[in-house]
Amino acid sequence: MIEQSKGRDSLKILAALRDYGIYFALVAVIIVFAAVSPEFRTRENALLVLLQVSVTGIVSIGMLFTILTAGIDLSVGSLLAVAGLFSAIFAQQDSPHFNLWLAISVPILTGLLGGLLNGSIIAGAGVNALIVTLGTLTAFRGFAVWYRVNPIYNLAPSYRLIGQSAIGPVPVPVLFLLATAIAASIVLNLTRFGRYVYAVGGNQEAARAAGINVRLVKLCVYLISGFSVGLGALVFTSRLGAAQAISGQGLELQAIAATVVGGASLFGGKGTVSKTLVGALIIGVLFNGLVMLNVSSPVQQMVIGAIIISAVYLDGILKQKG
Amino acid sequence: MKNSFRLNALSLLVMLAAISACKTSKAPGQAPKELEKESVIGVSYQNLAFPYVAALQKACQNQAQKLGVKLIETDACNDTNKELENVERMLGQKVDCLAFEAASLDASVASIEAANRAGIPVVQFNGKANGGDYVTFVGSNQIESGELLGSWLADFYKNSGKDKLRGIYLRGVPGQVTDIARNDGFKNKLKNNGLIEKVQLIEQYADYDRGKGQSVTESILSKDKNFDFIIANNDDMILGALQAVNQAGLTGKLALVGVDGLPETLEAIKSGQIAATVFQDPEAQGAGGIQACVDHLKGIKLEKQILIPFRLVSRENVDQFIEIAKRVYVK
Repeated sequence: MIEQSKGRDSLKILAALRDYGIYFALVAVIIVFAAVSPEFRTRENALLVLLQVSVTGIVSIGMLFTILTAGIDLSVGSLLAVAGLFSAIFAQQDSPHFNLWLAISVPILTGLLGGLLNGSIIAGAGVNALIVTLGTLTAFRGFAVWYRVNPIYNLAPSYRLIGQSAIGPVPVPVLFLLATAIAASIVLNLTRFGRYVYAVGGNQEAARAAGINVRLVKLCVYLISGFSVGLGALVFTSRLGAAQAISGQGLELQAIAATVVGGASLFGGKGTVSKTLVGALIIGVLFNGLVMLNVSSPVQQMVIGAIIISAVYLDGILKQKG
Repeated sequence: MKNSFRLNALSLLVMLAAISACKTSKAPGQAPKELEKESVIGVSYQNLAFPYVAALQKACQNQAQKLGVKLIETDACNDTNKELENVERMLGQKVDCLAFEAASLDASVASIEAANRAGIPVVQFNGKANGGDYVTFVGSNQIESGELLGSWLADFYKNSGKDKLRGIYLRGVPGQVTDIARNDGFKNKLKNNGLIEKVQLIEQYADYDRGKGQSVTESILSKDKNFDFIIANNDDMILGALQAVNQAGLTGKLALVGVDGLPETLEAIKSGQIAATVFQDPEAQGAGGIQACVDHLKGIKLEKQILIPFRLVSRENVDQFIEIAKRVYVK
């Protein structure tokens, strides 16, 4: 009897590790930095980390939707540059084009348009998402550079409030991130569409047999990814105070890393918003903490790479045992 | 002893002869021949997505128009395979001269060798590859830009009245040639001025990227706000750092210095937000590249290297640089 309950306990621990392992990992990383560096464990620095992951976090959540359907969106970084330039055009101080509402809405629209383009090709023609978004990654970047090589700067103070101000102690970009996360959680957990997203990723044929419009679901996840890129572009541009055609290079890899570290499966059907956020936070905390400790960037890259691999490795091991 | 003295004297003679040979070749004695037809110059740019290279392109176009030559322009997009394809295509189009901005130190040699085989003269500008035959290189010595950063810091130290200074040094991409040269020039200058012990530097790479310059500076300042200056190996990183400094409520408390002379930095120098930058001259490099092609086609002998000096820009002399920037940073 005792033996059996012991066995059951260790199974429970294993199950808990499998479900919450990523949270333990985040806590462990935080504890290590807090122990080594007193400046790390301040409220200001905690808020700074949240601020620094806000753009990646928002884009990662959009990326999660595409990954849940066994898709992917490699075009996010390039699309962010295009949306950022279009936002900045209307945000420039002393410009005849200045219009705060357009500066806020145009990047979102741009993101949606980019998502529509990706989604309609992937869903409509049934082409592999990796190939389609690899194409748009190149095309969007080309467009950004063709449209404007030199940075757009001197952005109006009212516009810069979006990325550079705080409500109470909390930076506004962090509120954008939280709002995105809550909205995405509601959509994924409490709506029929959310169940469809998981179903399409879990087994596309079964989903189709169950009467789900798979194409429509696929189109929608790329629209959602585009939307979050637009929102990310708005936050990014206003936080940096400038838009550049070369912005957002490599953002797709950061966003994919955040979702995968957060336990999402590239084969679809598995992953949650909260764990994706934790994935983004682990990478953000590592960057912040390692810079504070003045660790050089090649070493930072090795550490962050090792953490990503060990997270995925642990996930694989635990899945086998579970 | 005697022998080695003779050898030294001999080598001295040879050197003198070489120097005077250089001088005579530069002298305007020989009459340059007129070009019979409209010359076509093929231009290969490293990556036109960078504002600096786009400015270089504008300078090339302006100069070509001035001299009445035709340009065929290509963009390597930082890809040496694409660079080689572009060059081969231009060679097929029978350009008279190739103005070449190398995308890579070693991998770009293939493009130059392709032009050598086709018998087309090559003028390198801004970026230079490590091999192949070429007429001349028109560009800047990147060590010099680091040295100017060092001279700025030496002056800043003198005027600060402090015994010790603390600063942040934002580096570019680890292992990249320009970054290494700027770092060497900077550190050598500090050493020569006896400042190594007097200046404490926190050094971090920020990949020449504005967003990364911002977040790296944020994290450093989150630990410790007690700095006198920030120096960056390019303007984008210092512009990112400027945002971080303002966000941390340290506006005006730190002197910021970059390298490049982007219009945005020049305006920030004029308004006092940035202390200085090291100006790299796209107009002189681009125009010089095209001019060198035309001179060579006219039969004028050129030196192997035409150096375009870097210049330190501060609030006192910023206006003249804003004028240059207006002409070439247009798109």
